[in-house]
Amino acid sequence: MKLTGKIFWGKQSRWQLIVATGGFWIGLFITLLSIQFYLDIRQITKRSEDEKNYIIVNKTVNMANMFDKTISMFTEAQLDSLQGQPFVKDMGLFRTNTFNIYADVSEQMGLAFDLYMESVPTRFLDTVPASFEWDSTDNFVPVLVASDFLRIYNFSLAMSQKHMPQLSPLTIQLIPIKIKISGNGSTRLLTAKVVGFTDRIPSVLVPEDFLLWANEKYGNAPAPQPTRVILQIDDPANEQIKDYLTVKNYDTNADDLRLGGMANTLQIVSAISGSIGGMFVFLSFAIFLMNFQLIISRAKVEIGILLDLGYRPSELAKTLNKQFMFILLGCAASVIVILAALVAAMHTLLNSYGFETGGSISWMIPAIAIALVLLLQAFIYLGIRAGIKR
Amino acid sequence: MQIQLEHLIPEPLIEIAPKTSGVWLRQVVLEPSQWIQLVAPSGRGKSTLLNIIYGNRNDYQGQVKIDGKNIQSFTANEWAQLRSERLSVVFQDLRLFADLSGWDNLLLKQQLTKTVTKEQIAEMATHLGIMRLLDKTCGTMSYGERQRVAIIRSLLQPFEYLLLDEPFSHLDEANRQIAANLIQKACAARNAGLLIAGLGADKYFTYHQSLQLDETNG
Repeated sequence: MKLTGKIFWGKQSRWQLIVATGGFWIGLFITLLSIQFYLDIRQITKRSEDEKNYIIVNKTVNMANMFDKTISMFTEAQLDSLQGQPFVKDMGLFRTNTFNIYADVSEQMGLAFDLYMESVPTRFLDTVPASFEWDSTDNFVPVLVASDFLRIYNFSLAMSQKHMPQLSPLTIQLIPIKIKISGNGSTRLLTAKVVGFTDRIPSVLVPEDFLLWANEKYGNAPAPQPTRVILQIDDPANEQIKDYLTVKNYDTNADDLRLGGMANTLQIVSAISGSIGGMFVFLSFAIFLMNFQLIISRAKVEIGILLDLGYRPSELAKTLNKQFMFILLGCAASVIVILAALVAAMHTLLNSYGFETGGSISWMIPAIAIALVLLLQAFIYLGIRAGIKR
Repeated sequence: MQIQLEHLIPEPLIEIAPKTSGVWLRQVVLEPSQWIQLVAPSGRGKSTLLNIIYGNRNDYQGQVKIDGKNIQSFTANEWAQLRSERLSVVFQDLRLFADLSGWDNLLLKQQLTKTVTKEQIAEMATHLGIMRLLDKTCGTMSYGERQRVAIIRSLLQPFEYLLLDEPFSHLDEANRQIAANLIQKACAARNAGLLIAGLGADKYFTYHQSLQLDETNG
C-alpha cells in the first residue's frame, strides 16, 4: 500500500495537507489551552466563591470598649435577631478560653508565649484534618492555625528576628508545642500540634469539645457570651446583609461584602474566556474539515483510477483513513505534551502570585482531545466513503 | 466470459443514434475468447460503450450482462475482483498517474494482482522500446510512450476479456505491429477475448467479428 500513499500525498496535496495539519494543530492547541485555563479559573473562583459564603461578624470596637469589654459581646437577643435574618443559612458561635494558656516552643524556636484558643462548630471549617479530634484520655490537643498567621510569622516575624527560622507548613506540623493550662486552682500540661491551616477563620482553633471541657474544668469565670459569630450566607452580593450590618453597627471580615456587586467579576471573566474558547473550537474544526475535504475531493481522480485498476474501495478507504488517523493522533499527542509542559511552568508562576492551581493538566484534556480526534475522524471517514463511492 | 448487450443505448445518444446501428438497441453477444473489432468514427460512443461494460457509466437504457448477470447488480467489491482478475482495459485517456514514474504506474497493478514478475515487465518494456523511459514520470512522457505503458499495465493481470480503446493512435507503424504482437500473445496465452475500438478496420488481429456502431450496410 506504499504506492497508494504516494498517490494521495503527491505534489498537489502536500501543501493542502501541511496547511490542514497546521490548522488542526493550532486549533487543537488553542482549544485545549482555553479549556485548561477555564478549568483553572473555575477552580480558583469556585474556591473563593465558596469562601464568600462564609463571613465572620463582630461588633465595631470604639472608645467605650476600652473600659467595658462586655460591650463587644453579643446578647442572646442580638444572636436570635441575627440568626432570624433571611440571608443567614447557618450561624456558628466562636468560643474562647476562660483559663490561662502558656505555650512553650523554646527548644525548637526559642519562643514561649501566652496563647488564646477559639473554637467554632466543625461544620464551619474549610479544612478538617482527620487528626483534628480530641480524646479526653489523652494529653494531645490538635490545633488549626490561620494560614495568614503562618505568613505573618514567616515573612514578618522570622525575617526580623535572627534566631527564628522560617517554617514550611510541613515542618511546623512536626513541632510539638508544650502547653500549660491553668486556672480554677489547678494546672495541666498538654502537648499541642498544628494539624492543618485554615483560610476561612483568622484564629487559633481547637476542637469545640476540648474547649468546652477545659473551660468547665479550668475556667476562671463562667463562659462569656461570644464576641464573634460565623455566618453561612445565601449570597454575598445580597444588599440586605450590608444594610443590616451597617444599621446594627456590626463589622465583618468579608471584603466583597464591602465592595458589594463586584462579587461576580471573576465569574464573568471566566465565562467570556470559556465562550471565546468555544468559538475557537468551532472555527478550527471548520477550517481543518474544509481542508481535509479538499484533499479528499482532489484525490477523487486518483481514487477513480485505482478503482479502475481493481483496488477495493474498502481497502482504499482503510488506507486513507489510517493515514489521516496517524496525522491526527500525532497532532493530539504533541499538543498534549506541550500543553502539559506549559501548564507545569504556569503552575509555578501562578503559585508565586498566590493562585492555587494544579501543576498538571486536567484528565479532561486528553479525553477531550481524543473525543475531538474521533469526531473529526468520523467526518473524514464519511468524506472518504462519499469520495470513493462514485 | 460472455458479455451480452441487450437493447443497450446510452442516454446521450437516444435522440441521435442511427436506427441501423450494429450495437445500439440490438441484441449483441460477445462470446468467450472471441476477438472483436468495434468500428465507428469519432463521437459515436465507442468509449462510452467500453466505459459502460467496465462499470464506469450508468447513464444508459437496456442491459449489460456478464455471464448472464446484470452488471448493475455488481457490488463495489465484485467490480474490484472482476477488474483485477477477469477484465482488463486500456482507456483512450490511458488513466495513468502523471506524478508517478512509469515503473510505479506498472507496479501499482503488479502489486495488486501479483501474477507477473518484475523481470517479465522489464521484458515487455524492452520489447516495446520504453525500458529506459520507465524512471521518468508519466507526465513528462510523450503520448505514444504513455500509450505503451498503459498497454503493458493492462497485461499485468489475468483476464478473460481485454477492452482496448484506440490503443495504437499515437504509435508509429513499427510499434503498432510490436504492440499488437504482444497483445495477441497475451490473449492467446489466457485464451481471452478481445474487444478493440478503432476508427476503421485494421489488419493487426484476426477478428472473429466486426461490430459497426454507426450504420451497417444491410
